[in-house]
Amino acid sequence: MPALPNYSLYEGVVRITRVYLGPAAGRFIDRQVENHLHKAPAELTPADLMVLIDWLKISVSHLTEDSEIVEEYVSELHKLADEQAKPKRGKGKS
Amino acid sequence: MPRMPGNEPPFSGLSSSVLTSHGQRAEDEALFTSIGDGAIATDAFGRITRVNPAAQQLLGYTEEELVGSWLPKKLVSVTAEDKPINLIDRPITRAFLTGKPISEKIYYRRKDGQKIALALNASPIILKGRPVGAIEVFRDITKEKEIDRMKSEFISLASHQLRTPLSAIKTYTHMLSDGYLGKLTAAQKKSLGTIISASDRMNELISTLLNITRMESGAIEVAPKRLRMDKIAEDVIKELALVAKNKSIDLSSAVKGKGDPCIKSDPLIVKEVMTNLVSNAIKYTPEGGQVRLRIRPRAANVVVDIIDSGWGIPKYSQDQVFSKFFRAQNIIKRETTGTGLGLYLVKGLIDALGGRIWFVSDEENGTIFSFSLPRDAVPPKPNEQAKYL
Amino acid sequence: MARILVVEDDQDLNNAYCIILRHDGHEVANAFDGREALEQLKDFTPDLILLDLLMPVMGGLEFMQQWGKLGSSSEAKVLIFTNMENSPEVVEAYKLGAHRCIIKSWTAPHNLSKVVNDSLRSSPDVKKGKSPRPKTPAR
Repeated sequence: MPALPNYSLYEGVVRITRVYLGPAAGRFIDRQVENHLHKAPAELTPADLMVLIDWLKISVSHLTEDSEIVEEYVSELHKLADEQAKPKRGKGKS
Repeated sequence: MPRMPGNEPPFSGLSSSVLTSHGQRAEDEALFTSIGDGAIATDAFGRITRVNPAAQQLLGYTEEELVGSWLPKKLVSVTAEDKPINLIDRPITRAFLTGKPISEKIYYRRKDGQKIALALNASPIILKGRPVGAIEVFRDITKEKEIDRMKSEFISLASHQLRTPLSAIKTYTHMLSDGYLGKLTAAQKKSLGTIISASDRMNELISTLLNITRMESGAIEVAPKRLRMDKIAEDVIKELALVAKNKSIDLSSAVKGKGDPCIKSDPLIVKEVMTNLVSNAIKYTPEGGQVRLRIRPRAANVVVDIIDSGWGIPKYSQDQVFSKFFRAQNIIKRETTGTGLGLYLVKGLIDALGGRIWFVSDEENGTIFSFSLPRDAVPPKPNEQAKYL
Repeated sequence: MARILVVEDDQDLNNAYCIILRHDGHEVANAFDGREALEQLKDFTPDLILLDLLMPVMGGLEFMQQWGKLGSSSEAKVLIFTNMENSPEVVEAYKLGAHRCIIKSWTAPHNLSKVVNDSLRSSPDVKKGKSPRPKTPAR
């Protein structure tokens, strides 16, 4: 069964990336997802994000010399992936 | 593989796996060192891990000065005008964005501050499916750039030198023919007509040859402007009206549909393409025929069709139509002039504008040459600098 | 009738343009390079300047720059003659205020007359000025 659109994960990645890359974040993430995962950005899953983090880390490492900032960025992405991977509780459970 | 007597390894006290590993590393090192082009490898943090002697020599740095430093800062990439290139636009960054090797001609600043022109290939290093670094391989193209510059200068000079005497021939023959220098007999006028026609053909040939030389050396400069395709078509028709009239060919243009016929492209090149195709259509259509231009605006592009009732292109020749020097057999018999360069040039110019060209033809019904040009010929701007870092 | 300055280093072409334009009834002065053209402008106020780009001593672009620096109130239009269409020099000429570009090798006399007349038609009224210095082609 194909993954349902996961706008909240994709939007979360863009939101985090925007803190470090500014307005270019959206296009940056879109291109990374399309080129490395060969899918539409909104179809990003937590498992995909783990693969993508490697590429985001190495790309950003060639945009800034500050490895602390890179680690901080990667850490935020890992947190987001972990949050999204947790099963969601339904409402009104009996 | 059984070890042969007399072939004992020198360090026979070490385990074979360590020996193999040492040997492998030595081999890898020798391989990297021996590459004739410059080679620089980085780790996942962009720090230089290896530099071969060719790279050191090209950039003027020692290995110690480079290894451990952050490549994007240590090796500044600049434009021909010495302006630093944004980090996000550098080949190595784009290689990570795409996951594929990126090849480009760039300038690096050497240790002595001079810039050096390089043909560079940047690739991600992938280990077990994960990116772990990058490798740049590059060679010095200073001589090639100099040759390109000399070619462009020669083309400009040749253009001027060849055309100046032709200008005089054309101007004076026309002046004689038009009576500026006294009345002529009918026979004299006719002879002058022959000279005029021959010098026009020579001029066209020089123009085509120079354009092809420019095209083949990558010197065609596209200067995009907002233009109306229907207006260019009208100008082309006006210029070729007399030629069409001399063959009693009905020449017209029209816009099909209500779409916007404006695009952003190079008006001189677009006009050259249209003039070439319409001129061909007139040339290869018998007297009394028709040549029509049809402009079809579409969402992403504008298509232009040049429809003639001419002799057509035989099926067996159609795959060679855009080849250099090609002329179809059925045409050569009827029209001995023609260089076989026009369509080769037209295709090159359309490619330079980011368009497409195709045709449909048969010997019963004539030919339709069509080309499409994108609405916006301007290349997309590079990504914004990651200025928050 | 208008006052036209022809600036062209090729003697044959310079001569031809003068014949054509005088035949059309214009008052014509000529020069063989940009420096001579600047000299002519001291005594001759043209409505139109036909300007070659590639000339010895002072080329067309340098002439336009120097002419601009003189702060002349002249409203003369400049038609660039060249065989180098698409070149950066032509682009620069437009930036310096050239009105139009004519490809020499493609321009027959009747086309020259037409282009000149079209350009003049949109010009302000012809000004009365000093007579041109006579100039014979040097051989």
